[in-house]
Amino acid sequence: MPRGPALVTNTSFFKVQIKRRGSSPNDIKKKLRKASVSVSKELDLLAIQVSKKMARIIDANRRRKGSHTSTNAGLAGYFRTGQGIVVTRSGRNITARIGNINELNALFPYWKVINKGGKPPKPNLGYFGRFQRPIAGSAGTQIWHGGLQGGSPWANKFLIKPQKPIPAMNYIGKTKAWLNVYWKSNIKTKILGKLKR
Amino acid sequence: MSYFRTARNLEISTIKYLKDQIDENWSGVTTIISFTQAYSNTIKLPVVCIRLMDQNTDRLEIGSTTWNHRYNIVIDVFAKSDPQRIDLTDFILETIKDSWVYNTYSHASGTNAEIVATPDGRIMVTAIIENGRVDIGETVESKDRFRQSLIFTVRKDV
Repeated sequence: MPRGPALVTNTSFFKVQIKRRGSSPNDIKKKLRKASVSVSKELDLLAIQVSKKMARIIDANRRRKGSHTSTNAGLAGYFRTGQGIVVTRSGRNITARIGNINELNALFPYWKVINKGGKPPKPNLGYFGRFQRPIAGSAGTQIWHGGLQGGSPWANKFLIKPQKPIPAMNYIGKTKAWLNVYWKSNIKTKILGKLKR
Repeated sequence: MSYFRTARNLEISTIKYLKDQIDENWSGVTTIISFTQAYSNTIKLPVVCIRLMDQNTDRLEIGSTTWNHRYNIVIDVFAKSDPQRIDLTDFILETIKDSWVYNTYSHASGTNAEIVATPDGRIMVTAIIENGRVDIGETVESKDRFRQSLIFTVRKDV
């Protein structure tokens, strides 16, 4: 029986594991071999759907709706374009990973804070646009560290260290919860159908 | 009378149940609903923040017009130490493994001074989505230092 999605507690990727019980080992091997290509395709598609779903959740929860929503920039764009999706096959296990931690840390150092909320450990670069310069707080409580001059694209970026906690978006948790439902109501039946053929 | 809708009833019922259980078995733990409130200087650790995250909905069965709602609850445990974080989370997990009472909340039209709870079924956990220590960086703010995040899916019995 297809089991899963087996979700790991490490919030960086989803793991979908397929096991079949009941038939003789030879029957299982034959059926799996026959179905492996179409099941793999189904899981490839699922990985893309999950990644896009995550992007939609980020877009829907953004405080500052801007050009990032329509272009493929920023954290949502990373997931929308399917960057970081890796599907690996090892024996009868097919693992689909969404999001590469090293890439996320390098490109979007704020991805963890946005997900779980809280106060960021260090100032991060924030883009404020030409006419949206952040306003400094009173002496001693400055919440931004000035613009990085030198022309576009740095002129409107500021190092920001918010004094208030960033609300938790929980985009990974929301996607996992959605996947749980989507797996049971849709994908599981499709894969079972392919294995029964 | 004005009645709250299911999602709101479910959130309040869950918070009330967990707050009662925590208050009964722990001392000095503050249960709150607002995430920002957890970072307030006036609230001391440990803090348990419970809220409804979102919901997933599909048909109950093929051909049915009944919705099958699943509600995702998120609990953030802000503890004073690692052992406390582990113990509190474990306690919450044990507490939610059985079902709890779903109340329909209502108040007189025009005033919400008195909210009345009427038992109307039970709430059950159907899946644990996440349960892990929150890691948002190396030099984390003191309230985030020993923080655990627990996300689980519940449904109201049909």
